[in-house]
Amino acid sequence: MSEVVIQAEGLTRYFGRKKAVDSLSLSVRRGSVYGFLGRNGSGKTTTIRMLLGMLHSTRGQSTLLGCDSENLTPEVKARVGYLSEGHPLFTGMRIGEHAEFFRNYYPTWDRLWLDAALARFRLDPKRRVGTLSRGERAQVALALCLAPQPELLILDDPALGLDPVVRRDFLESIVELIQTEGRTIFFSSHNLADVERVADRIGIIEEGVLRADCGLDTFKENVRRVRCRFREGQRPTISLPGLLRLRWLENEATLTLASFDESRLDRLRELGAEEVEPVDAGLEDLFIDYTAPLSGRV
Amino acid sequence: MWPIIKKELRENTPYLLGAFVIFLLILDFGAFDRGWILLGCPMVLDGQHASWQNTTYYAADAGMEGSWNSACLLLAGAIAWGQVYQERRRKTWPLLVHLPISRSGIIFAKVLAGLLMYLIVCFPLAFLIIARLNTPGVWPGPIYAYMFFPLLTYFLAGAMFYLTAFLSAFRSARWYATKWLPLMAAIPVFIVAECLNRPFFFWEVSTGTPYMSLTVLVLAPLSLVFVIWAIRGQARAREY
Repeated sequence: MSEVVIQAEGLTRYFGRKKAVDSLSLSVRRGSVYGFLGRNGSGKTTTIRMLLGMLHSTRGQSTLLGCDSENLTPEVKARVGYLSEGHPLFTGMRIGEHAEFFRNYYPTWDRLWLDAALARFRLDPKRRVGTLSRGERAQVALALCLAPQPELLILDDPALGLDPVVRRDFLESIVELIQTEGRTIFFSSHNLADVERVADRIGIIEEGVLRADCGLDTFKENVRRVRCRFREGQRPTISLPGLLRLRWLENEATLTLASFDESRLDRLRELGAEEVEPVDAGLEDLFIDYTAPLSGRV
Repeated sequence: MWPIIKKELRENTPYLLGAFVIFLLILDFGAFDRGWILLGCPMVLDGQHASWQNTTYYAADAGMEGSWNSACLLLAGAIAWGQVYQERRRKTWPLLVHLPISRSGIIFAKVLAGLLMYLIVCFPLAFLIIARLNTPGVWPGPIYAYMFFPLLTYFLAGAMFYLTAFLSAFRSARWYATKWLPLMAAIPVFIVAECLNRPFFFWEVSTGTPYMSLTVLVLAPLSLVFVIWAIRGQARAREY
């Protein structure tokens, strides 16, 4: 069994009376790409900051590379790359000055790799960070984050605010990074297409609660959409275990079911459905149904 | 530590130039009633200041002792607040605290950079004042080194104010609650500075309450130690 690089147990955080993260437990194994999904304000950034020891947990504990998050040693921090939300950089400095600044602190800094990455993004190291576009800033931030060749990379919504072309380029860089053996990536996002492209495991957080933590394929197998057609004018009350969402269009119902199995289809037939068929849905659709506000659920 | 100091200097150079100009204007404004001495007018001592010089007090009191004092305070406060709020506004705290060195190392590097910036602005101005007063025809009397003692004491008191302002800005608290409290720690140091510059003030204080002067003298170094200890504690415990 491979080594666990991120471990959280019962991680809880309150802001005043608001519970931002509620008893979150997860583990990420070395070499995996973990997509941490959630809507805005669901607790993704709070969780990441607690993992990095930037926020204190109200309860629970977590470790990064075996080191307690609250007391990360400089040696462990040097092995963890972190790209924070919004790609912040020191606006008064040039790209090259950033590289010079960070290089001093990382013994594993790969200058050639960084030069190649900046060339690939067509970024002149002499440019001031304040003059860069949002996409360019993201590229610089990613390049700086990867230059120390971290074992573990934690990205907080890395593609936020990027246009589709830049986003694709950005994700390609991440895919390239994955190819390095033994490297682990933990990234949060609310863009499901990104996650689908690169993640092999996902966690879904909603209102601070981790509602799913499984392989991407397992999630797609277990959460399914089913379309069923009833006779004209017939609209029975559908009550099934694991029913996440139900939409009616005349006599046709579209259901999203968690913990899907064939017996659910039989149950729908028993309710009078003339046609029952599972339909393909992208991760995005499933995610929306999975995390829809409670009022939208059945 | 040096890369962080270099980064701070690099980022703040334009602001320091601005601060230098403002400081210069404040000093000259302070000397207004006696002429814009730094900008080239000769000094003319009025009776009050002439008597000060002859009896109790000296002065680089070219009418600018008070201005120097306030400018030091303003500058120290502005640097401290600027350093903290710049990181907050750009959301770069996480970038800094994730550097593979201890958090107190990161914060104290910032503090050292701040003190260095304070020195960078004050030193040329002090030099300018001394050089100007030494120019023949400007100061109507002999110039002694002790006359510039107030500049040094208020400079040091300003450095203490920088530390308290940094702590105040850095602490997570609310203004209407306890955020401003660290500034209080600068008070004993300012009292000591006042006492050193105005012996009559010192004796008045001593006569009024016999142990007050002693208390203040003990409190000043204690408050310095307290502020440094508190900055270290905040660096470790604060959330980013």
